[in-house]
Amino acid sequence: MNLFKKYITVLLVGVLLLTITGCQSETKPNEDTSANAQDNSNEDTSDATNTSSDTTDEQDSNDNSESSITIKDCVGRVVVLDKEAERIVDLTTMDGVRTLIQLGAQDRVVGFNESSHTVFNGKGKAKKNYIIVSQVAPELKDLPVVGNIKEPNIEMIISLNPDIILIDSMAKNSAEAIQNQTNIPVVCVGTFGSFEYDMLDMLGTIVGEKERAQELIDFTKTKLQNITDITNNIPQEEKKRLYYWTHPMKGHAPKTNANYEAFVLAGANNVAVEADVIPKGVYEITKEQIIAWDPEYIFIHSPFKDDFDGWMSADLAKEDEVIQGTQAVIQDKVYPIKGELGGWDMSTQAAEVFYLAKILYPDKFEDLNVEKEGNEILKKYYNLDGLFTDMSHQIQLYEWE
Amino acid sequence: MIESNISKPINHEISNKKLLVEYKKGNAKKVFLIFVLIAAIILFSLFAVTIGPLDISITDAYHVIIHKIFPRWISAPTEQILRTVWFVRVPRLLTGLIVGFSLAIAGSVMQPVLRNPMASPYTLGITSGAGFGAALAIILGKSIGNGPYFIVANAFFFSMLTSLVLILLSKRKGSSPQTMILMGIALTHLFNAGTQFMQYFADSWSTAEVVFWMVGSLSKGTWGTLKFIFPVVLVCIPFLIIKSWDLNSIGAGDDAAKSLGVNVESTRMILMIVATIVTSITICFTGTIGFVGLVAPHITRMLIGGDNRFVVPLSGLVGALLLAASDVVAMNILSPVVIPIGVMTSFMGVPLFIYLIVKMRRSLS
Amino acid sequence: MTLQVENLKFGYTNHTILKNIDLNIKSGEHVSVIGPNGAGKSTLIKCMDGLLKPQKGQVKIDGKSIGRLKRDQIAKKIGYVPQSSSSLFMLKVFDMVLLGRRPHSTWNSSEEDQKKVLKALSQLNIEHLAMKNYNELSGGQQQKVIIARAIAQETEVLLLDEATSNLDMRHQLEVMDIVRRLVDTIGVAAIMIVHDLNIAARYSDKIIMMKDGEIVAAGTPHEVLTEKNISSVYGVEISINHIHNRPYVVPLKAIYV
Repeated sequence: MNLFKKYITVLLVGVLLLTITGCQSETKPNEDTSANAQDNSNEDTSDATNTSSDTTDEQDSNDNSESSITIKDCVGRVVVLDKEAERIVDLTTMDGVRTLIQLGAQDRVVGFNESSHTVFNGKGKAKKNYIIVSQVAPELKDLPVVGNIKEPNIEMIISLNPDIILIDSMAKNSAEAIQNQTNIPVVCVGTFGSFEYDMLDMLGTIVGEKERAQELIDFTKTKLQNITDITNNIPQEEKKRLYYWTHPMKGHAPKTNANYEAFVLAGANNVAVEADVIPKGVYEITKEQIIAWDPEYIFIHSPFKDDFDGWMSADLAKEDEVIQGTQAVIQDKVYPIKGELGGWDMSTQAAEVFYLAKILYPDKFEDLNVEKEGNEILKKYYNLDGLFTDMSHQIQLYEWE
Repeated sequence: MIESNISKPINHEISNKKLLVEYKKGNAKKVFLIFVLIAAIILFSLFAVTIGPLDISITDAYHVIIHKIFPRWISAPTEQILRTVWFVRVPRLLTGLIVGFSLAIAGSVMQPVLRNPMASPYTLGITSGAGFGAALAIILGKSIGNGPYFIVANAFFFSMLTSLVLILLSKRKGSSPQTMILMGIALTHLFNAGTQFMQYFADSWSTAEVVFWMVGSLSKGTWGTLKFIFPVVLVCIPFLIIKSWDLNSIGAGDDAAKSLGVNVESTRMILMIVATIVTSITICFTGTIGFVGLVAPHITRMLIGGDNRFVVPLSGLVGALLLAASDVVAMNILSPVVIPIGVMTSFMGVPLFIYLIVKMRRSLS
Repeated sequence: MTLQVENLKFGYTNHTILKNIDLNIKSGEHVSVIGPNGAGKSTLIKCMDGLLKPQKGQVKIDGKSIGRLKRDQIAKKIGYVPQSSSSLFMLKVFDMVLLGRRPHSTWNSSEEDQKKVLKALSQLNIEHLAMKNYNELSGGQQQKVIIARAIAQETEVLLLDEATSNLDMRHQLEVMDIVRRLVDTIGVAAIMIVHDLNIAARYSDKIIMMKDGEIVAAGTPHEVLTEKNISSVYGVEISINHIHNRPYVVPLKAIYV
């Protein structure tokens, strides 16, 4: 019975993700990022706002100094900080620390989640898994570990004396509890497969790197426009239909996820989106469903270079006897993709828009050099050369001659 | 005064004959119910292979099956239909039937053997043992065996280990059923603790995998897995059915059973081991699907009473139908999303169960 | 058939329940075991069926030690009626009695087995209960069903552990008659624990009187049921009359020491 409860909880969390949307900064409302906005932001999750309003009001009246910063976090909670955050404890599974690295503010992180520790220290599966941030900021591996969201080490957190604590948006129900226990403002962050420029902006505001955030946002939007200018003109009925195979375990039921915005920008129709189902997170389907969908492309979440612990690669998927009759397999259009592995990452997602566009519409993007563009995008975010080339090799993305 | 009992011998003869006829009729009814259920399963299967996300006509679906069984009679249908029906629908259906059949029979044996109506692979820690084994393989990559079946092999190994530990421990102090249940509950907690402890240190993808494994699914039911499950079930189930009469004796108390010639300790042990093997071989492929094993035997007892000679095989049929039907509903009701089979069996089994409890008020006393 | 108990001792680590038990029982004997509560009567019966393993000594049937026999071999020779028996399942009376055929047929029941069940039921006059659920019967009826099961088992020895204690006077006498008749007609050896000394006296060929795990007296009712024996074993004052050539015990009062 316990398991059922567990699963239902997971399901409910999945549904909750749906309702969670924008992250907004309120310091400079007129400078709002509207240009290419995906319109996924302004829907307030009002309950979250209400529950947090009491505490924030109090803080408001207490320290209403000039330097105070008011932000709206990714679940719509209003949080007031009396100053820029110098010391940050990150309880998220990667989303917080990754974004801070992108903002060049990794030195502000004074403690992080156990799973981040595993990733940066290359333990367990993380050892074989390719995650960019552990290469970009290897120095973080010695950071103190403050537990996880289920069991945060409150004493440790307090002793680190942070200005702010980051937690996953999924765990927003724990926000008030942690805030009350520590008397330190808690901010919810997290993306769910779409380009959450607001999150970047919000964290930029918190650490005083608003310009850097804006630079990344503008850069990404401009970059992506190169693709969307073309893909937006593809008529709906001519858009390629693809199936996104997440968490592909050998012998397990196929799973999928309708959330990867890169597919939309690259001008594809994700069959999972067409299906318009209730759960918006990962869900299980049957192999027969793949036959019924008959996608033109299959993109398989294939994170590991080697055959690893029962994970399935694109090559193995092609051999699956059940799906032999699908267009994708017949035309040999089964490709690996990074997708949500290691968490949604705006930088790799932007790079993958290029990767996808060239695979899906080789005629339209004949001259597109995916490797060059990918490297450029990742360099912008992480300030290291050749990251995309490296990632392609590591997780065996498709490579052009 | 002694004569009083044999005063009218002729009348006795007549009433005895009547009784015998009545008794045989009662048993014939149960045998008839077996055939009814088998027929229901066949009809259901014929229906189940015709529905799915892909629109395949009834004739096409049967065409495939007839072609596969009698390849000379009839030519092959189109490749896509063949694949869908023969490699997706049929093996999944068969897996559902066999797993439901086996778990229900294992449950129907464990309950009387341990003299506890709540006994099931869940209560005995066998399921959590399997879960622990799977988690160990998924999170630490440590496993008995290799290749594509490394999680399966570990799950099987640990569920068997659980029941072995259970049996050996309880043997030391004279295997009373109560000590077995208590130890089972203790082991459940130990293994769950172990699984949670490992999850605590695992990265989020591994944790998600463990959760997916624990939820249980028939999706792993292919011809490949049937090759493992079927032979084991084929050997074990007839043994359990043959031994089912002794369960009636054991149900009357250990001393009574012994005086009736049943070697209670060894029978209890052998039946537990065989029931565990059947449980392990199925759940190591499907993840935790335990509810059928608890509820199908009770549903059966409410329908036909407690004679284990009939309860054991009938539970199997009830379990097979319940699980396979739940799976078909789970796959199609929210298509393309597949609802976890455990959730669906509870949705379908519990209302039926409660209805029967209210209506019949019997089962185990 | 002979049933011998030789120098039997039974107990748990620090606590002896039976000691120095020697018995010799032959076919066609009706033996009652009497004695106050805690005398070890039930333990003796269980040792005789091999349900409990003695610490010392042995029980032999036809010269073979019971400890060396398999359970189904014992079950063909010795039937056992426990003090009370509930079934975990809703079993029909017929199926309950059918279990008595277990030692003779391994898997399912034959037509002959079913006939023997009916015979056992009619011997106890409970054919009308055949299709009832065992668990829904009264205690007395259940007791009769279990006796019928032991009869269907067709053994040479019948051990009854207070088989009549749940029954009212009429049913008690009925059961005693049936057991007596089995002894007289088929030559079964019946060993039963009886609380009512007069019933024991009325039906038994032999009475064994026990106290504190030992046999105090054994022999015919006349030999055992004496004023001296009864008052020392039970701690009561009684007087003995004789009715139908059997001793008849009239309790007078308890003796306080």
